[in-house]
Amino acid sequence: MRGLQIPLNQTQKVRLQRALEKLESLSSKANSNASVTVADSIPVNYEDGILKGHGTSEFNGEITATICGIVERVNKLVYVRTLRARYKPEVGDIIVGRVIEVAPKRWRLDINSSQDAVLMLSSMNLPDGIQRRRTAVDELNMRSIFEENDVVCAEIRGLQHDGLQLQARSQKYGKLERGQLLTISPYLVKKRKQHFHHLDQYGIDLIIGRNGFIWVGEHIEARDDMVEEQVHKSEQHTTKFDITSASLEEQERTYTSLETRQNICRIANAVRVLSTLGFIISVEKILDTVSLSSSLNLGIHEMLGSEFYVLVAEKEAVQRSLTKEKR
Amino acid sequence: MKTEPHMAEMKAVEWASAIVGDLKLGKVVWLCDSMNTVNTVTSKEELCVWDTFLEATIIRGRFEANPWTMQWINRDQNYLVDAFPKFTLKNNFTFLKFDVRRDVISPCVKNFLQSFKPSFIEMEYVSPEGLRLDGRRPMEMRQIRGEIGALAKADGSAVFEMGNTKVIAAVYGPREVQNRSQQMNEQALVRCEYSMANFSTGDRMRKPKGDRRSTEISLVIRQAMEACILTHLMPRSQIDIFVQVLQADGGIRSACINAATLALADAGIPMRDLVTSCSAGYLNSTALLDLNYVEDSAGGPDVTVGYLPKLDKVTLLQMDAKLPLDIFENVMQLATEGCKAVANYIREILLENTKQLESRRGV
Repeated sequence: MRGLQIPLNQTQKVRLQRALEKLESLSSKANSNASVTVADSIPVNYEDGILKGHGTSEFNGEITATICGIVERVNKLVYVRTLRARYKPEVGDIIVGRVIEVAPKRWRLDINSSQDAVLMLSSMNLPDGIQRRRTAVDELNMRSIFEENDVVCAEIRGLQHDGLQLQARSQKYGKLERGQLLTISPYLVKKRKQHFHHLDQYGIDLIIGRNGFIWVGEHIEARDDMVEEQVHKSEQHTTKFDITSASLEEQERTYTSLETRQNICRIANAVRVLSTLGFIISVEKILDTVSLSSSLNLGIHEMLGSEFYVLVAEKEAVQRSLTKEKR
Repeated sequence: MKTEPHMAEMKAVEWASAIVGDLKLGKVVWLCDSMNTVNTVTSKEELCVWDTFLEATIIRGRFEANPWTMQWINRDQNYLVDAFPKFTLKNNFTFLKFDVRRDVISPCVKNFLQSFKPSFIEMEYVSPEGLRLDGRRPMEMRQIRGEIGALAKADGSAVFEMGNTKVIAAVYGPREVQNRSQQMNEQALVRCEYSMANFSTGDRMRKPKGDRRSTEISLVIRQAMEACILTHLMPRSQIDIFVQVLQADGGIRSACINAATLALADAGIPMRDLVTSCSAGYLNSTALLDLNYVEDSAGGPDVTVGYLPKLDKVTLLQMDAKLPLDIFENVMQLATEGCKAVANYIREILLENTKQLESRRGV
């Protein structure tokens, strides 16, 4: 089994096996024979005007797959949806990436794709929130915004000739601090309306990047540009900044409470468990797993123990069979 | 009684020489791993080592009386000593049943072997009953086993076993090109690195990396894989394939290519077709499928074929000896059949893996 390299005792092995078999039987009824491997021919019933999509090619008049995956049909279009593959960027996707290089007027980000993405200085809001032309001074101060190895959240803007362009034109994008970055296979993340989640009860921000990078971090109140600007101005008007008070404030800001840190670890471990089991990652699933662990009074580190893996798999099997019955 | 090592060696030689003398054997080659003893026996100088004086004089006397010679042998090759009595009885033996691993034999033994006519050391690779050394039929493959997803960090990975040969492959990419000057605007750059683990062979390897053989195999694997990857779909990126041999028992090239195919398919890299590979050879006027180490090191013709089963095309053909055309066609046919069998197996495990991933993922 991929990735699952945990010692299981005999009963756990049997239980896990049974849960996984149940999952398999549930899905095999849904779509049989849809999976293909490299060079399998895809039956198209001699229809005319079939459109060949991703992962297909033509050989001797029949359509063959070039990758392993699931055949999907949308009207006349036939394509193969890959499972394990690198992230294929689509315009508008919300992604999380890591800065690997600060280049002239741009940052280069690793986003688990076939190429590095480029975030131009001009396609992101400046920290002071003012709309203006970027000057040479801004360019020199780029490292004060993002440095190498910083984790950044952004949106795919488009594919230009010289690579993948990103943009971060809102307060919700930008540098991510005080949290954990998890990397999972991108096929486990589905496109949804919401990729930013504020988990109120835990005081945590969860960003499920479409590229399989997941950010779990302390909740940061989204600052409204206008308000902050006003506050800033009024502050400047009334009192001069005291250096000592500023540093204290700074300290307070960078301090994360123990409880929040534990919550971050708990959620991160839930994601780890789900991704090693190969289950799709969504907020509901993550929250379910977290509440399962806390209802069992499991410690954070115990979540990565073999027993919890088995429990999560069993729960998933039960849940899926229930939703199936409802339909 | 406490005995010096040299003394013990001398005693042993003395007893052995008495036995050999009684057996009335003719030309005997003595192999001894103690340099000291060899020097004492073979030198013509006056004896000056007093504690073994008695033994030394007796042995010298026997060596002068008989057409015997004594040679020093490296301790690593002690197991050969056991085999050499069979050589000395050269009128009686036709078939030597020990592993002649020619690369580990020291020069002195090599000379010794060459002093006999090669017909004497011809091995029997196919028994009269039609069985090979490891009990297979000539057209039988070793057991194959493949496992996808052996490494967590790689984009694609696989372990492939053919009998005792075991290879692990990892694929990284398509990813940003590391060396900008190698970047291609139309297609992906495919790189391959082959290595052998130090513990993969019978005796531990000293320098496992960067020799000419591994460079050649890297190139062969790269070319075979590049031919089937649809590189034009991934411009300005690079794909790295790493293969490492964990256990070597012949057919390394084939196992590496099969492992690389599995890993590439696991990484979701688009390919024209699966490349599968198998070797075949020709020994004792029989075509043999999937040679193991002993058969491979017999020095006979060895044909490695890389084959695209769907397109019915060959991407790799290597042969390191000469063969008549009609026999070559037979051997090649046999190797191709082997490739097809491997392809069926690989397809099966890929499909199973895909189904499993999909069913786990759910809706």
